[in-house]
Amino acid sequence: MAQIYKPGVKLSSRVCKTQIMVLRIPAVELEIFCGGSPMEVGDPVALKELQGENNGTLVGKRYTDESETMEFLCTRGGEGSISISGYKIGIKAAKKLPSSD
Amino acid sequence: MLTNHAQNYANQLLSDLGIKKVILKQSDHPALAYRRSGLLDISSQMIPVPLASHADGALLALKAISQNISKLPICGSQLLGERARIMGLKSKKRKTAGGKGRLIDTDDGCIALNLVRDSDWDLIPAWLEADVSNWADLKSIAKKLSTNHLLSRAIDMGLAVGKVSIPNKPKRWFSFKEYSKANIKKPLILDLSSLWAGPLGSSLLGLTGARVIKVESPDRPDGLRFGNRKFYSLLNENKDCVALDFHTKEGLEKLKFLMHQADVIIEASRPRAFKQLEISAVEFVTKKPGKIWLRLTAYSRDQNRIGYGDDIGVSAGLSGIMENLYGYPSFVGDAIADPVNGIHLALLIQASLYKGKGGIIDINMCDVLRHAMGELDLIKDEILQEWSSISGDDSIPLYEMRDISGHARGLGADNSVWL
Repeated sequence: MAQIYKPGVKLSSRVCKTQIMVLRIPAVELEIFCGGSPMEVGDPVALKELQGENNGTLVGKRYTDESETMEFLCTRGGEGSISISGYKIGIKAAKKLPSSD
Repeated sequence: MLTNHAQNYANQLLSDLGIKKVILKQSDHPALAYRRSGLLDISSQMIPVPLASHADGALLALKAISQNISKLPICGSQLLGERARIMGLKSKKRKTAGGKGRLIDTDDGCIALNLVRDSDWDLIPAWLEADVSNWADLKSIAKKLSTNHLLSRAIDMGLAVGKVSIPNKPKRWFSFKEYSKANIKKPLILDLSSLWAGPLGSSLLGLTGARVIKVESPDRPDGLRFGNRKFYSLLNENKDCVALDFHTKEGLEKLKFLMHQADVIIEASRPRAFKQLEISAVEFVTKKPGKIWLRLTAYSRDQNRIGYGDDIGVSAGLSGIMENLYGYPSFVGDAIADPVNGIHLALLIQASLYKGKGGIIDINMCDVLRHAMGELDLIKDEILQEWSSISGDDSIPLYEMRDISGHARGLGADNSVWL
């Protein structure tokens, strides 16, 4: 079911171990999928079968749409890919290293 | 005023490393080493922890097992205040010397949050689940949340945080898994690490005669290149610089080629980084006798947690000790975990070369720093008074700075030599 998500929300895949955290997101109704099934807010439930073509998710990587209106952090990787209808979701380039610490 | 603190720590380190050598060399009293290294100026307050002397001890141990020691620094504690002295930095109790980290009160305690990159601020709304973009708002929201809640979410997200508390000293400060034996005379070191701890370690080894290649990715070079030039050069002069894009097939093959040639690999990446490149440390160390692979992480590998010198200093207990002594927590030194780890890292590699043992060495910055702080039996008001008066009466100039006139090589400047 489409809904409005807030930054900081954790989502779990229903087809694999993938978990993501919403970092930035527009305030519009969206339906976020992983491996072809809608993702659940909070901890995972019983797993369903993977659907469609999947390249998987990688822990620590950030995922974003083409115009970078939203951003997700993968906190646990899995076999399913993240998808949102109307958007093309892919890995965001790694952040630069800091110039001091 | 000379004491045995440094020599005792050096002998303990050598014994931990299985090296039968005994060092007899008295060094400056810990309160003097703390002052003369610049740490007292940076932190404004004395801390009765012999950390500066233990840095001296770690360097004494390194000198005891190195062939050429003439180029090494005069003492280990000299390295602790180096960046702050070059750049004129001072910490402001609740603010790091570098200026990007703060101590933040929570509902039930205090944490350090180190937002070293401006882009780290992008994570704050998600971390706090609130629209926050400045320290004032951040503080007022964090005050209502528990330390554990804030820490666990920050760690999940890859934010650098540390809890103000005083952890116990770890039983071991490194782990070593031996895979082979070989006597390597002039080692070739491939340093894939960046910032301070790893590069300092490889530079110390370079000063003892090792050949060092610094490897960077062209789209993600060592961030210190864009910081203070003199400090960057101090850590990286005399290194060959190679730049490789690990995300292309060709770049990855070239990286593996260099990694196979090297006798020592130093890396400070997250455990998943090499996994995602399908590079296994075991595969490399088993292919060349005597090969050493050192993995440096912020905390133990299983925690999968990032950290920088100042927030790790908090996690290791320095700010908790200050809170006990002065009634409020404060930062100690400038990214203190970095230089302390750099010396220990160099010692570990030199010890493996000295013994002719190849294998995988794991160290984490929090445990090494906590180990170097020693037993905390000196944290008493009377010792604080004594050490404060020793340093207060000291009018000798600070340790002479190392020569900062060198120039490090540019990104990928030596690609044609090595690829």
